[in-house]
Amino acid sequence: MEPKPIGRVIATEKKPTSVDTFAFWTDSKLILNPFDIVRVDHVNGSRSYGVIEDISHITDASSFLTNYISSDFGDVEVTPPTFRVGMNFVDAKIICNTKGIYIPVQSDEKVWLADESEITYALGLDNKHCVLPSGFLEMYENTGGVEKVVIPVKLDPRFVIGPEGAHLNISGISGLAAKTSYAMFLLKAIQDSYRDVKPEDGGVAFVLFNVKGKDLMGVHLPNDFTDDGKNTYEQAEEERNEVHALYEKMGLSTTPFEHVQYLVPNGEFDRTACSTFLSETELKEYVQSGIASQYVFTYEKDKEDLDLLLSNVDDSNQTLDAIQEYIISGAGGFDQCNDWESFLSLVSKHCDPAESPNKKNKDIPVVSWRRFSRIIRKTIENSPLFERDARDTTVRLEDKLRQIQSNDVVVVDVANLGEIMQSFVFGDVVRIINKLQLGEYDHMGAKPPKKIIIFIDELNKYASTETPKNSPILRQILDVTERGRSLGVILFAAEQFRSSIHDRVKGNCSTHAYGRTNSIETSKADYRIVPDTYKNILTRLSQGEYLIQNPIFRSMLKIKFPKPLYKQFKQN
Amino acid sequence: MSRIMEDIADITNGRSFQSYKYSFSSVRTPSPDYDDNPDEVESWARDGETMPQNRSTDLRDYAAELARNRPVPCLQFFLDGSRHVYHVDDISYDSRVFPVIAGQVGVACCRRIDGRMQAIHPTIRKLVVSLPNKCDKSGRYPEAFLSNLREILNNNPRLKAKGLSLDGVLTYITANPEKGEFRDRGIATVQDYMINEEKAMVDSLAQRGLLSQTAYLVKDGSLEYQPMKSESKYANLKNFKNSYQYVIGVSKSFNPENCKDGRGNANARAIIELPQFHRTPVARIRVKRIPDIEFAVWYIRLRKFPDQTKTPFDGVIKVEKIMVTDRETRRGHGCGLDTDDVDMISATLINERCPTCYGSDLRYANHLYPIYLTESYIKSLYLGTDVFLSLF
Repeated sequence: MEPKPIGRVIATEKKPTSVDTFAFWTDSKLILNPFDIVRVDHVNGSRSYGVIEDISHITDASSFLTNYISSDFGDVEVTPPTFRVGMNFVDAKIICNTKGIYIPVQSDEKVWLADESEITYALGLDNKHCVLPSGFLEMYENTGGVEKVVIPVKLDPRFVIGPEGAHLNISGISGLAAKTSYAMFLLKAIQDSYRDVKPEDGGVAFVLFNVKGKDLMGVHLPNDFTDDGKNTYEQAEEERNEVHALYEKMGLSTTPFEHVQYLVPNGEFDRTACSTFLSETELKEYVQSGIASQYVFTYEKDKEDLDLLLSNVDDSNQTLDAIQEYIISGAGGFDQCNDWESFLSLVSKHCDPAESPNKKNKDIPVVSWRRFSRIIRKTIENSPLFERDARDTTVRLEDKLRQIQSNDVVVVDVANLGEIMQSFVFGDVVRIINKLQLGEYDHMGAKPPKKIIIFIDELNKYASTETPKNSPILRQILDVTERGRSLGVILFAAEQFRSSIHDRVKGNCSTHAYGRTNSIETSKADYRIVPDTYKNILTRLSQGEYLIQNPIFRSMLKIKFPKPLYKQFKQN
Repeated sequence: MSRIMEDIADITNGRSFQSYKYSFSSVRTPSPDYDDNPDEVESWARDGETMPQNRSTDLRDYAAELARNRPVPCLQFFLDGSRHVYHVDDISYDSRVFPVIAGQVGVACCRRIDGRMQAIHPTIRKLVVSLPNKCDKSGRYPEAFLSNLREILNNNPRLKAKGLSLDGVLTYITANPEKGEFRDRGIATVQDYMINEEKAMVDSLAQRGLLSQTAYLVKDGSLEYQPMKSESKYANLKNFKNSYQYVIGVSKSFNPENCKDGRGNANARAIIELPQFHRTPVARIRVKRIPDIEFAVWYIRLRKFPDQTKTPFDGVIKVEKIMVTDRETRRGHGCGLDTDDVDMISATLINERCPTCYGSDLRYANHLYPIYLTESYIKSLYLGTDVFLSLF
């Protein structure tokens, strides 16, 4: 179809065009949407492209009174023979010019809808390095006279998982934003893209945390699209075909994740699945088929991680820190402990001034020992995760993770653990991955992939603005976000409210995905650079829609992504 | 690049003073307070319609019915002419100094289609300059002289650079200086030029067959055009009055003294007391300066006084129609404008009271919105004052 101009540029005294912005008038019935791309012919035969930021409707009525009087002084039934003159004017932001000319676009220049190739060019999606699918964008939806344009959006992996830029932050309210689904979609795209890459050329492995129900406990199983029985077989089949077609259009396979290993917290002797949301049968099946192991922590090998149990405890006098040092140094008889029982017993002794082996050392007061005891006893005592040894079906996280290979997907289940324990496991895994990439396990024959992506939901638990500054987990996350790009440790994190996340963590993320949120959140300083219209759009986004920001894109993009290909468990 | 005034002074052997340039719209200029002229009315008879009325006609229900049933309104075309006039210089001939007046003239007609206005092309937008007739030294072949002068002026590089041209070089009479200021004479020539263009556009619409009983043209202002001393077809209304069969003139402002009673006395009170949505009986009038034409005139109150207007004459419009057909021009019972047609036109005009241009035009109570839009359209096409004045 021959393209038709949709309006002309407006440049008035009060609203001039500028290097960055312009406005154009258009028919009030023409349906355009924020994020649509338009083209303006510019000087020297160049073309400028703009992204629509806002659309306003104006009439020649000079005041509210004009409208009231025009309704015959308030008669709502009046139907005037002439419609009041009105038009839409559209505010657009310049995103590029074909010849790099950025003088303001000229008054009265015609404005056109961009075609598919122009949109791709304008948004910077034609970059040959952009090979990593990150969703698709739809444009000109319901715009008369043109067909809806659907374009796969691909990222330059160098700006997602390094070395040019790394880390992803996803924000949005629970449920409606589908944060986990989007992260999993990207991880699936990365696994597909790196499947055939030789480990020495830059393989990628994944460590995911299952933090809610069984969300990620079936990533190796195909999605049946029954939506918990709401869909009939025919509907499920139809949806499957639609979703598969979208994956194929983006150049992705339609299979769920491959090379998946689940690390499930150890259970009681007679209730092996008591620390997970998997059923006894499911767990047994997973273990028997060799894709799941139950993890435990042993005193001998994991005592150095005790600080992680105290990560959210305020320790302004650093006495807890001193106790940790004291224990690790083996003072006070701790060198003689070989299991958690003896450790707890010794800690109890330190809490009693009469029995304490630490009588001479007055640096650590007894009250601090008592506090320490209370905190760790609550977590360790009677917990099946703290065993004397890792044997038979149980493993240590460190032993398992140091064997991680390219394309491996390791799901660490923490969903059914208490908050302190979740932090402990998360902190431990991040510490292990850091050590792994620093080569600390090389002497044990570890050959890690060049990049390991860690995905964690509810980042606010570990790196919020309110997390104590001396939190060892926060320190590790900061370490990952600030140095992980070069080490090959990449953090994909999600949280409900972006504004509650530590600035240094957000600041080091190269890619940001904004899902649906609320207006209280968008009024925070984090969203100051987001145009008002986009802020409002953020409060209306549907499930499966995101605004994404990445250095290679010239503008924020509104994208959609298809439903996951892996099994979706019913939420209880 | 020379200015137009330098070229004019060169060609006509005058002396340009490069005086202060200004737009008359920014200073108070003498202009008639009313669209009509009270002194000109020669006769006022009450037999202007086929069923003469003794009192006003209530059209509230008729107008409401038309609005409810929403037939295509019979008023479909709206025409307005406008001019912006500027003092661009003073020029001297024979030791006398005369003002040079220039103007931008625009005439547009908009058609209402499904409630939306569309300009009917070609819209007239012209640039003219009015010089004292002394500029023509011989005065023997004024048309040839002015045509030649216009051709030369249109080679002016300033004009060419902007892609503009002068469409008319006019002259005003310099004799009898005691009978009015030269400036007003110059303005009058621009005004006449605009009226001529208006007439030409009406004629063109009629010749194209666009106007009919279901598609009337509403012209802003009075139809009482003064005959001109010119060879033009449009110099005298009687030459093309048939083109006005489906044209009404609607005046926002009028002299209430023009409204007469049966004995020919002024009857402004009839307008003041005219209830909302009523029309007066149709009068048949003749004006001195247009002896060959009879006009049908009536008034309609669109808005209630004092609830909705500030003065008694706000919200009242004067409607004029030229008597064209035999039945209209004949006198006696059953002659004149068809009363049904008058009622339909009046009820349609009553429905035009909404929307309004309140806030944008002080005359909103009397202004018809489609006319206002047509006027706005013409004005939007004008060159900015600074740009226009810089040519001279």
